[in-house]
Amino acid sequence: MSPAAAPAPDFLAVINANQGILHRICRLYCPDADDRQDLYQEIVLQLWQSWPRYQPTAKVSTWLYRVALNVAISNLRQRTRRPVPERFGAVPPEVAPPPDPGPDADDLAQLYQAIGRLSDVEKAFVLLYLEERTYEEMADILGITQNNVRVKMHRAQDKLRQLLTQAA
Amino acid sequence: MELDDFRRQWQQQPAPGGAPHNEDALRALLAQCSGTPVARMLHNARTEIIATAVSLGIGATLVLLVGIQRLQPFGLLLLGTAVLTGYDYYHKRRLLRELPAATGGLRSHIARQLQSLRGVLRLNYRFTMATLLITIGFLLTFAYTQLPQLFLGDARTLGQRGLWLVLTVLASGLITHWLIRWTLQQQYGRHLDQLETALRELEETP
Repeated sequence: MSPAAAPAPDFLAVINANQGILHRICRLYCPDADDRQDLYQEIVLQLWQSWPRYQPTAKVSTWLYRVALNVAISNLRQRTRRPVPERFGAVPPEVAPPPDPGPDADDLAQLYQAIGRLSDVEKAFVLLYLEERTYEEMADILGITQNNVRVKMHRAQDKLRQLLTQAA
Repeated sequence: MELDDFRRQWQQQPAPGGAPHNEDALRALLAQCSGTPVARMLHNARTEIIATAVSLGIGATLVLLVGIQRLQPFGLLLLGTAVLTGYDYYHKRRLLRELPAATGGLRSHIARQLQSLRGVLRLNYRFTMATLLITIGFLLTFAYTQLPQLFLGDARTLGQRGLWLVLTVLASGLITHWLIRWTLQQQYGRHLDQLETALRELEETP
């Protein structure tokens, strides 16, 4: 499907309703703002390309997390900084940290810092935990059994607790 | 502070300030995705095949229409390179088109990515080595037709020249082999390692 083709209104509605999820995933996997912008574009492109195959019987959130995490973890992209091309000057909207961090800013910063020290796969487990997904949905998103999800989730949470304790 | 408290804070964090997409903004965003590494690799493969087709056309015209005898080895070189580039383009395009599909579960997606990427790298390696062989074949043909005195002489002289030739071919092959391995490792090694690590982490725990 050509990226220049007109996006379907339903797709726009889904993307707009779930921008928060996409931004949080980008923020977890790319500490650099320009990398985040690249990743956000790639995720939206993948969502757009797979939209015709999306089955309305499945949960939109499952499809969205699955595609976004697949891109974030496995997409072939440069993970080191490079000069920003001119054309990016015209791109809205920049994925930025929350404009108003709120009263829990320090705790959230501590959490992000701890998550930043996890592996890509551990980050996915922690993200799904923080987003309160069920084990069934996690298994579907990650393509592993629910039992495997339980075991690995337990380990990822333990590691996160340790990192948070160290940080405190 | 417990993890559940962090989870509550996570869910209450303010949404990032990105403006909602409208149709035009989304179309612009999607159009800019042509700069992704996979898109660039596809673009490079297309450029290679177009350049080869143009070179082949010019070469064929020179050899067939102008009829310059001395250009015939170049025609053979172009033909060999064109066949090789066509093969390389066909398979690379197929493999690269498989890369972006991100709809399956994470584990199977990573496994497919690894398989496709390894296929592309194998193809790059084989293409480079085959190009070397064709170039050597061309140089030998060229020398045989244009410098026949090199192939004359007593058995000992011919034997020494043959030995030097074999050693040169072997050295070229080894250097090319190391160079291409090093280049591919520099370009994709880290990414492959990360994918393999992720796949291992997702494996069933006994």
